[in-house]
Amino acid sequence: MLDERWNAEVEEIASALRKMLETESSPQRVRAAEENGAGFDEALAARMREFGLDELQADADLFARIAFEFGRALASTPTVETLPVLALTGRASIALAFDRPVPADVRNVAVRRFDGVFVESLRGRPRRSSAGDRLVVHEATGDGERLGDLALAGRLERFAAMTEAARMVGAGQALLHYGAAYVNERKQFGKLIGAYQGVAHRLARVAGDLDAAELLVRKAAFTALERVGGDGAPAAAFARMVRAKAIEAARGAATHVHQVFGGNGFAMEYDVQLYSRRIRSWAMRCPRAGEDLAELARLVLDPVWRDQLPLLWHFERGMPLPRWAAEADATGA
Amino acid sequence: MDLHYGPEHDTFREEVQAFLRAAWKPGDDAKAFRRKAVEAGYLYRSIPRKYGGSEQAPDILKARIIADAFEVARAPMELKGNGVQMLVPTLLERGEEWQREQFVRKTLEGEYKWAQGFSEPGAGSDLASLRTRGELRGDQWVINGQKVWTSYARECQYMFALIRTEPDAPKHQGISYLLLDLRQPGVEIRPMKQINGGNDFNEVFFTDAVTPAHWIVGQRGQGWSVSKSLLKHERNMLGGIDRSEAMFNSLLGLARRVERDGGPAIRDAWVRDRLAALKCDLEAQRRSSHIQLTRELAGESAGRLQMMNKLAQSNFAAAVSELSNAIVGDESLLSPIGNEKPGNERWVNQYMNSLAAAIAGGTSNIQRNIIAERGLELPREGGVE
Repeated sequence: MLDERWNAEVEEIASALRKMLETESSPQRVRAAEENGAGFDEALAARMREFGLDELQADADLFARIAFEFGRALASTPTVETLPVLALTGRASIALAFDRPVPADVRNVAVRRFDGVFVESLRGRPRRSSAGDRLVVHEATGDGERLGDLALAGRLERFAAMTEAARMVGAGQALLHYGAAYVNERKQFGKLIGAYQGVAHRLARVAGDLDAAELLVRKAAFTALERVGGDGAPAAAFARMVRAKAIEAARGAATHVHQVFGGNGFAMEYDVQLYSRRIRSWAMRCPRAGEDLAELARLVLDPVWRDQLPLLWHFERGMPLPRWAAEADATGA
Repeated sequence: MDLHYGPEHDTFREEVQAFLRAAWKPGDDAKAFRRKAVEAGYLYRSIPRKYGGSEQAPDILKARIIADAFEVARAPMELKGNGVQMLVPTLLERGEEWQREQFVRKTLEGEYKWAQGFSEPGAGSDLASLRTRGELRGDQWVINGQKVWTSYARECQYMFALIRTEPDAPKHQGISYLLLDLRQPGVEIRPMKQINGGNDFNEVFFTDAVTPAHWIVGQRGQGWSVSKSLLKHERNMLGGIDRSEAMFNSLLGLARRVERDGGPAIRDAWVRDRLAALKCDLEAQRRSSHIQLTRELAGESAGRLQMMNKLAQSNFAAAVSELSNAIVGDESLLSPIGNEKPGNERWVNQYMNSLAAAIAGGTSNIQRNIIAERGLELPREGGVE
């Protein structure tokens, strides 16, 4: 039966996680982690181990939701980076280092070589990032244990696109919430500033963009499910789609919420910077949105690929084949 | 999470498809086909049989399946227009029995066409400020004033209109919902020339126009709430993104046909980037329509997503039009009006129409106000603390 909500188990775990993160990753804790120079909250990491995250075996939708909650709480642990390897191989605490820097606080990274995916010990110089954590560009060692073949590499990349997107959407939604509360308090010219269309319409736009991206996170997670023919990671088109949209939506949220905060947003005292700096940094760690869109165009616009895409046109079970997919160039102006 | 409809509805889809194979082929008489489709229970599902409907239990998934299957078969759906989509649900909800008997069936069958008399020159987004007056003299209302943006008024026999009948009451409580015959001496209809070359809209002037006293839906002064009563019926139409999808399809066709730098535009990197971004938006709209459907099925509110439908569709139309105009290049400098056999410059009207889409049925700025106030709980626009 059609049901596009998160399932009950996902809701239950996410709700417990959210409750825990409210205290264990409060804005004060996020600031404290940043001020200790490492951007890493050891106590939070310990709580997550107690929570059982390292042993978690679940479908992609739960991992997507976890990444969303970690983004929402701006959690100061290198967790989201390790979710793809955990989800697809069951191995905890291994960050994905394919063409991207990794947090300095992980010991092991997954690297892609011509003959498969390998685990190596993290090596390289930690440098403080503009988001308050420390990043390392891993220097490949060429040794290490083999995790899987190149097909696994593709699945890991697609999974990471979803979790990276989910984290950014979570942070964006939290930032929107924070901005909405502010405009309900701040007065100028005798009115709450949220009563001005120039302010309200910006936030309405942000809400629409973030909700759209959040829905695509769910769709990407759905396409990963084995029972609909998925291979545990999102279908390629949706992996590309969701990350491009999430970056656009979350960065838009940062831009517009900063605008409503005026000069206050430039002050470290206000939490808006906690979100906007991280959103920017997280987006910059991903492939550029243009690359995702170019690949998406290749997948959806070229007939040779188009017809092979699972769950893209949504007609496999009853939804009609869209006219343009059926008739290619037959649709006139 | 499950994106399948389930076995019961899969079976239903097969029934609908079998019906369509047997009962419809392109070129058949649409009116006769609609009668068969009503008989089979596929059209006008929420309308009782005695008024010309098929009187089916509400089922939004079935409604969606029917719409999709009819679309694929290119079979005629329910008639569109103000009469079927706005007046009929209102009469069913708030009308008197004689009104339903006299008007509903003939409206469903296309015999009666209705204009909507809501907007006025000084009452657009702030509709309740309308000033067209109705005065009860003896057994008839005498109407004076002006309506504007009245679609297809020249083709319509009748109008349903919001008229100020209680001038001393607060503005929302002074309005009545009246029905009137447009073909009378006191009514003058002037077409408006539009930027897309059309003249679908009209101004309608009333100078001592009359309508019988009992041609009122609901009580005197209840017109505002009567006009809102069709919302419940509109929910039956949840779950579709047909319009956005059709626009995107046409755009793809254009991108395949038009040459840009020596090859089809669809090979151009910039065009591909924009098409891919639009495909993301389209899929997000599809997800949104499905989750609203899901929540409706579960008896929950669709939440703020429901408030975003109109704005998302308008923004999508605008983005499609911008890209289409860029694809056709220099041809977009030509006028789509006044040139013989227009070619690709007809896409200029996609742009013109997108401007109207952002206004008609609730402007984009009003949609943003609604999202801000109800979706994000921001203070009311213009509210003073």
